Amino acid sequence: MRRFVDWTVIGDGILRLGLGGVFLVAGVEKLLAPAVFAEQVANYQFWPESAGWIAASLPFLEVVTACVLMVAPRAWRSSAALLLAGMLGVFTAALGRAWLLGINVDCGCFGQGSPNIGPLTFLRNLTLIGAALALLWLGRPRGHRVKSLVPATE
Amino acid sequence: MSSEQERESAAQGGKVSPLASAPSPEPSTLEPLVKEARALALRALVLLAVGLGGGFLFNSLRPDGVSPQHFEPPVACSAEEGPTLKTPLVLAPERAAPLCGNPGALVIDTRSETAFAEGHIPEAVHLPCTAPRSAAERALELVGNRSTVIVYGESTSDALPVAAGLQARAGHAPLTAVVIEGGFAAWRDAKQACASGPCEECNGEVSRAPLR
Repeated sequence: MRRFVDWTVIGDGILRLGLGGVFLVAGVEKLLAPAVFAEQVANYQFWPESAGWIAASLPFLEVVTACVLMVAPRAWRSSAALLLAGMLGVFTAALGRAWLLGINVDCGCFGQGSPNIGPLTFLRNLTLIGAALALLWLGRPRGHRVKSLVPATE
Repeated sequence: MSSEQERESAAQGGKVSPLASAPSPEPSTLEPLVKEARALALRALVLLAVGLGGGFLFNSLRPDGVSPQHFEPPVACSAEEGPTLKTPLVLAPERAAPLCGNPGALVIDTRSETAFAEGHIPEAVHLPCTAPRSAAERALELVGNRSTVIVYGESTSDALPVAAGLQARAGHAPLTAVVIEGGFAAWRDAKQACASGPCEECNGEVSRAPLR
């Protein structure tokens, strides 16, 4: 008897809900206390004038992207995964800079009471980047991929 | 000529010139992929624009949104210049009172704006804990060559971080910070001098200093 279980669909769903859920929670936490988030951004001591701009826009972007990743059609989900991967890359770079300079203690990732920057922060971000890239791969367009790249054989 | 035709002719006799055959398979195989990647990136950019734009809109509509241009982190009571070497001196109102009229001392009030407006020590400068960097720097400018700051709040504990922050900010200049024990309530109960209303020379200047 054949089992009609498509593990890529299940994996895609789990990753989407997981990654989207993380960003949804992170965005909502920041939206609840914008001034606190602005302060946390300023604590990174990198381009302090941008703190207000980032605090005003980033939390909403996180929520929008998380929602699109969880419920939108496939094409938009892939783009959301790409955007989240890019955002995570920027976040991780900022965290790495702060970690190397030893300046910031509060990562501000999840609003008030976020854990301090540490090895676990990087591990978590790398895991999330992995999830976003896996979603991009699972959501790649089907149909005209391998066939056209392999020379036709008789 | 399509790639299939080329492959066919190559299989039949291999007479297709390298010039003609080399570039042609590329577009037909990669074109859809490039198109997909471009559409993927374009949609991501649309998402980015919608998210950021919506964020600014939402932020401007909510009453407690941050001001993008004028946000300043509250730093008045964070000693970010490193560990403070000296701890502020805590003095009872009676012992702090003689310092008040002293030209070498500046009085700083760390309470809320309304509490400050209702009454404060004469010539006190309003510098709450939530004051931004520029206000803390202006306060230090006002300190100038003075050797002492007298800091008070609602209680002893809420004035201590501002006093420590000012000491740390003063850097190498020897600045003694005195905290009035028991805060403004103790000061008033000790029947010391008390002025009322906003401080014209300092309130607007220090606590609401424009950004740069």
